[in-house]
Amino acid sequence: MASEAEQTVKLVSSDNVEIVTERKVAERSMLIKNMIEDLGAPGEEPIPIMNVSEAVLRKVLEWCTHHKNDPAPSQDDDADSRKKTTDIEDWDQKFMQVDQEMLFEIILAANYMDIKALLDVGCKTVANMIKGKSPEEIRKTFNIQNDFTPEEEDQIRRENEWAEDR
Amino acid sequence: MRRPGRRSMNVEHEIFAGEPRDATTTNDDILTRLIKRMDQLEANNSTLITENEALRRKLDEVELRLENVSIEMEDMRQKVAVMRESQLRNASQRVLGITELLERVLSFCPPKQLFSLRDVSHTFRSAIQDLPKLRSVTFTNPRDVIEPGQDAVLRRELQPPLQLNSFFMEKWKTPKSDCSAITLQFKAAPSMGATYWIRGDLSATFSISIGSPQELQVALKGLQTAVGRTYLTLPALPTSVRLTFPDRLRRRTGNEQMWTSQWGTMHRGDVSAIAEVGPATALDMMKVAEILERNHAAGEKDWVLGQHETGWTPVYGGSSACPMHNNAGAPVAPLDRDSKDFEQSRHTIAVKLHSRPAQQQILHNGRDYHSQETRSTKSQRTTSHPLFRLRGFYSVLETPELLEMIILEMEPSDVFRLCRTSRFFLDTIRTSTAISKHLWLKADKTINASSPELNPAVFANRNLKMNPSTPLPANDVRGNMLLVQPPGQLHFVLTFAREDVDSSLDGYITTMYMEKGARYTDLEDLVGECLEWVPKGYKVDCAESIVEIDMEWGGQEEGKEDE
Repeated sequence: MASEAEQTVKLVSSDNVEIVTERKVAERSMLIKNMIEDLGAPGEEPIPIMNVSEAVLRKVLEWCTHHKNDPAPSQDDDADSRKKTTDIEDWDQKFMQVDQEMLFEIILAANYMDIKALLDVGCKTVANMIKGKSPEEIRKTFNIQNDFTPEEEDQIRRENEWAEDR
Repeated sequence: MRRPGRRSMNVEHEIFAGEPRDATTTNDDILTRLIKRMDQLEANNSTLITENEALRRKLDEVELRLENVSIEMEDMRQKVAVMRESQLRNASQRVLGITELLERVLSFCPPKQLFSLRDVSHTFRSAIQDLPKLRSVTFTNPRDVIEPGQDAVLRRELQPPLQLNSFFMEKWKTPKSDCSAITLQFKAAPSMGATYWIRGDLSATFSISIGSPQELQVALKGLQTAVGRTYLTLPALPTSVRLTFPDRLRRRTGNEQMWTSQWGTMHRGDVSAIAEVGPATALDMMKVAEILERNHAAGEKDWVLGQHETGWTPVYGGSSACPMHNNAGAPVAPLDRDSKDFEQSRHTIAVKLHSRPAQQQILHNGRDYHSQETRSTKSQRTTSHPLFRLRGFYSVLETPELLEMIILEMEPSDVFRLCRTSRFFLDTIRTSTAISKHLWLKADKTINASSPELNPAVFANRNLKMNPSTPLPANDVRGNMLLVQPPGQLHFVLTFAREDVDSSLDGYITTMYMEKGARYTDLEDLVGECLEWVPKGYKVDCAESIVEIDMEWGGQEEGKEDE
């Protein structure tokens, strides 16, 4: 029988593409890890990842492969993470240099597959995209509809005045 | 002889269709044949024209189709672009539309950025204003000071033009039952030009028994001449006023004269002994001692620590709506604002007395009040020794409730200083729940503070509560911001728990002030300044600061005023 490190798992994307990957890589996802533990026989039964398309799944697995030897995240990491907005590894920064659609798909996939570290990297990337931008620029960047009335906008502007740079 | 040309030969060949031209062929034959050939050619030509037209039509059709195709292609291109955009929007909205994910994304943004992000959309605004984690980041973490659902009752009961500014609740025990009261601070209509405080009971369901808003207004109109804060009992409530008066206004019928209220019995003189102390902020323990001693020495020997079970609330004035009564039930005229007595009474707000220990002592001795009083008076008559002069002072200090009340009137920094003066003070301060709350080391729902000035839209005219939900564990650091009176000053309070060598007190506090007109950058500087206090190596997270703002009340009006 193959050792745990050599074991592989079959993942099936939402568009019915089967992807075979190392168990260790796949287990960066808590969702897959729990499923493997529940199924008991990895490699035999394909694991459906219903909400993630092939392209995104491959991308996520690429990240997981690179980070497969990272230590498991602790509770404290979550508490401290907000202080490190710009603290993204070089490799992760390059990894996240994708179009916006893919970036958000990765965030959604990380959220669905319960990969906290990847989710954090994604969220930090989006936060960095937000950083320093005006509301109008943010709306433009993320295609957000301005649903404020002019009166509301005016009121909010007044509210925020004290927090703006002189 | 000129030989016929090749062209004429061809024509002939065409006309005679290859037949040999003999000698009998006449010109007519030639002409006939020529005409026939021309007809044929014409027929051919018309056929060609028809075919040509058909081709041209087909070409037009093709061109039209091509044009349609190009239009369709342009449409398709546009559709693809729209689809791409919508896909992107879909992807971004799928992330930013999920509250948890949006919260996660925004939690990586600096606080200042969050303020401006409220301007992006309703979703962003709601998330930043409503999610506790983000409210903590922006120092605007609200917390209800009353139980859910109770505020609805308040809103029903209190209608404009009285604008509820803030309120706080109090609870205390009487020998018979537990009591609770609510003090409401109203921002009166502009024409009334003053802020009023209204104090009343709470029923079990927290409904405030005001008959109608008009009743309330009548009561307030009676108090228009009063200055500053005015305490009164809600007129519709079945309770009399917990009031006291300067000694001179009391009808003297001997040392045993008592003034009663529904809350308990108060002996005359209990206020006057410390009436000169002055406002709370100026309270000084040594000054209290001096005054007590001086009064005692000057023959003001009839002062006795209060005999009423609960506390009392001084008033600046009364009204017809809430008459004050003496023990015989007769109404007493309210104080004249211009009188010296009024001025004197104004000072008495500095100290609230609780005299339960005295009462307990009476009960403990198995004597009634009068016998105790007689004994006390006799004792005072015979105490000429200088040591006895300080007895009152120490009686106050040695009565935990009294000392607690005095300390509660002091600034936190003074309280901490007081800790260092003696073990006695230290123990009192450390063991008192009320003082712990006063020092913001414990959760306290009764702290009331508001400022109408700093940032009208965000902070003004709202209740700010600074409440660490639990006592601080060792080496925990919290930054807290609250607005307190005097208006316009933002008190930023950094509380942290560390071992203090001198006082052995775990909790340490420093209070810093931000003046009116402060901006967020000032706050950040202040936070930085506060953090300099923090011992190195300790975890500090100012984002966990707990600042409670009632975000719902009064903001609109304030915004209008600001305009």
